[in-house]
Amino acid sequence: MNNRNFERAMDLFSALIVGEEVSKKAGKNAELYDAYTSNAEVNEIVDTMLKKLGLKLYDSNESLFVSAGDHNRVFGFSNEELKRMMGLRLNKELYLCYYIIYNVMTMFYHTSASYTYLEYVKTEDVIEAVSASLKNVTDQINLLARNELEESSFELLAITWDEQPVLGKEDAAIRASRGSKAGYVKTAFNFLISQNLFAEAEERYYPTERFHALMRHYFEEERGRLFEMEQELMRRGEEEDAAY
Amino acid sequence: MTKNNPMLDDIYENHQERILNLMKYLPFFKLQETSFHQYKEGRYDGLDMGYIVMGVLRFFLEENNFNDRRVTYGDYLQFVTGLLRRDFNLFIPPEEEKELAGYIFDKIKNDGRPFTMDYFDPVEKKTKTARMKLIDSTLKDGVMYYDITADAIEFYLETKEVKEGSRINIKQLLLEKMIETKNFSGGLDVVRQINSEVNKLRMRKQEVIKTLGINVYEGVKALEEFNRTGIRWFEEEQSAFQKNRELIARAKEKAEESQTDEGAYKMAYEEIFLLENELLKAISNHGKLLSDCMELQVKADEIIHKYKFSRLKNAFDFKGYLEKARKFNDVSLLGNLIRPLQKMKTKQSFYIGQIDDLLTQTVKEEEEGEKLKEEEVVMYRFEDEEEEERIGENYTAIIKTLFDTLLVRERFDLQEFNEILELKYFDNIFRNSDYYSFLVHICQKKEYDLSEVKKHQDTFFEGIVSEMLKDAKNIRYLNLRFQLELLGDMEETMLDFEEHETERISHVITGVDQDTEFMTSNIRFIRY
Repeated sequence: MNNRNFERAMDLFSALIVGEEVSKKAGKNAELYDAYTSNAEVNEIVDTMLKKLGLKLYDSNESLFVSAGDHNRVFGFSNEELKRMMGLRLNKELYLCYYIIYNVMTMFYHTSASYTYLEYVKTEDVIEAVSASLKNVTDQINLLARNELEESSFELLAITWDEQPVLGKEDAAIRASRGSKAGYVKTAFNFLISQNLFAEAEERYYPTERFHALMRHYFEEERGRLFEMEQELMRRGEEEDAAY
Repeated sequence: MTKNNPMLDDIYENHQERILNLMKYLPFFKLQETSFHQYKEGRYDGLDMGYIVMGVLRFFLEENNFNDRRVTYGDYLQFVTGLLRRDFNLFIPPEEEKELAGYIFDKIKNDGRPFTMDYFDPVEKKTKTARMKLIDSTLKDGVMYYDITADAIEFYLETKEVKEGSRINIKQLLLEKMIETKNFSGGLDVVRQINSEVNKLRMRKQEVIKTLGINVYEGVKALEEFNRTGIRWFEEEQSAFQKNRELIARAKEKAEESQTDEGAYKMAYEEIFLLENELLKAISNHGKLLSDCMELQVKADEIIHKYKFSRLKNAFDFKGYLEKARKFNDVSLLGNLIRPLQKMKTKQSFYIGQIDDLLTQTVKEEEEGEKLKEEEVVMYRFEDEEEEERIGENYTAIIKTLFDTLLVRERFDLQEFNEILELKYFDNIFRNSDYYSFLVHICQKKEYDLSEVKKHQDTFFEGIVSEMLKDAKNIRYLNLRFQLELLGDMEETMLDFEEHETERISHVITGVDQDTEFMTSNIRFIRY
């Protein structure tokens, strides 16, 4: 192995791990991008290291993006860590944010291969989309005994959402909070922005290149596994058993 | 104060230009307002002046600029009447039709006067009047000809992006007209518009590539559209550029020739020079557009080729995923879609909760040895062992019956014994092969003394009897002695025959399909 190539590969690897942008298009670490795409040895070393750590690399639009996938023990975040990052207390609040983010994702992509050509979204669009998609569940809430609901059930999700006022009382400007629909959407977007998935301009949220790359590539590659929910639930049960 | 503020400068200095630009739209809106309400008691109220004006302008553009023909009133009449019939279903007597066309013509010509608009010029601090005509008229050889004005062309082109024809070409026609009328500064604007038009096409090319990257189907459509509207006219555009260059060169020569007025010449020459420069820039941009288009084609082919390979791959269906999560009624499954989008967690931390584990963890004082469990010995039973056991049990049952009967009665024969057995075990016993083998075994000896059998066994039958006698319950048989007599082959004992005893007995075995019957010798059992 060529020492210089190894050094190159390590440079690229560390840049990817710490979240630096590697993009020829944007002119950030362009030489590392070139090394990865044109030098077979660099390419192989980086690929091997990423693979051994359970990371996935995507080359999209002359830029490289890395994802830890959904169950990476070292580089992935646990639900607890996510709650802390978003400033949430309860699991049901986290699940609501998941659901909001899911809705944002599907506003741009119906499937991983069909981009809707939407340029940006606004808070009110997202509120509308979430309310509309939960309508079926919300309509049936009256018939349910509340204390019997599981914290991860769709019914509790719908109740949590339905009980929020659209805007918080205290001020006109939307702030991230747990007190209103807009506050939750803002919380979700703050998180998406912190993860370099969206950029904000004048209350409009534009998806970034990283968002597009992961949406198109990650889900296409992992689609078979992601649909095996039975196994996922079983695995989760085993993990819980192991914890006690 | 205004001098140093670009915003105010803009308001102040460019106001006139803006108004003149807006002026182009004025005639249309004025005409659009013209209703046919007053004309002929509102009989033609259904006609739309705006539509008719646009049609007429397009007709003039076609004739004047594309076909290079001047329009007479007769041409106009023919066009307008055709339009009225086709689009408004207006079929009226020719006289009336002619009158209506004349009315429309007068309106478009504003009764021979230009359309006007008063506006305030902040530079001169005066109210000025802007004028515009849509159609110009010239008398030549006694015939009146009508032409569309440059302003009208500009207005028409700005109302819509002309997709079918090349926008660049139409602008060039406009430029041609302006050079001919020596409106060089106006021509400069047109060339700048051509330039921006070319740049727009180059940007459009980028968009096409982007679309191709996202959705190939949409991209291919966009590419076709781009080729249809952008590239198709390329040659014509280039020859138009050439023509305009020549026109400019000629204008330059003319300006040089007529050097009478020094100031005017200088100004005109400067304008022509600027115009030429701008046109050269446009031509070079136009050239770049061509190479861009070639590149686009190559890239598009590449993307389509790549797509064909990956087309068989299925895409991830987000809605389907939600449906499935809903089936499990577990929102937390959505986390699997969110987590992959996150950045790497690079700040690794020690989980505080683990400290508890460290403190409460007890360590054993000494190592424990591995505990061995006693293994159970598995006993196997073979088929013949099972059979022997069965035979033993069956024999014991029959033997017990035999011995009990012997204890009660001194003598009896097999037939009687069979009756006893049948009472005890029903006729099932005669279907049991062990019964017949028992008879064979018992006949191996003629005499049995059970006290002797207990001590010494000669046959298999005696073995079973001795086993049986070991049981304390069977002690009552111990002194039993008996002998067997086979009635069939004992001539000497015939005398002892009792009447009811028969030599042979038949055994009937009732089967499922049919009964079978066979004979054996009768046996007499005698206790002594």
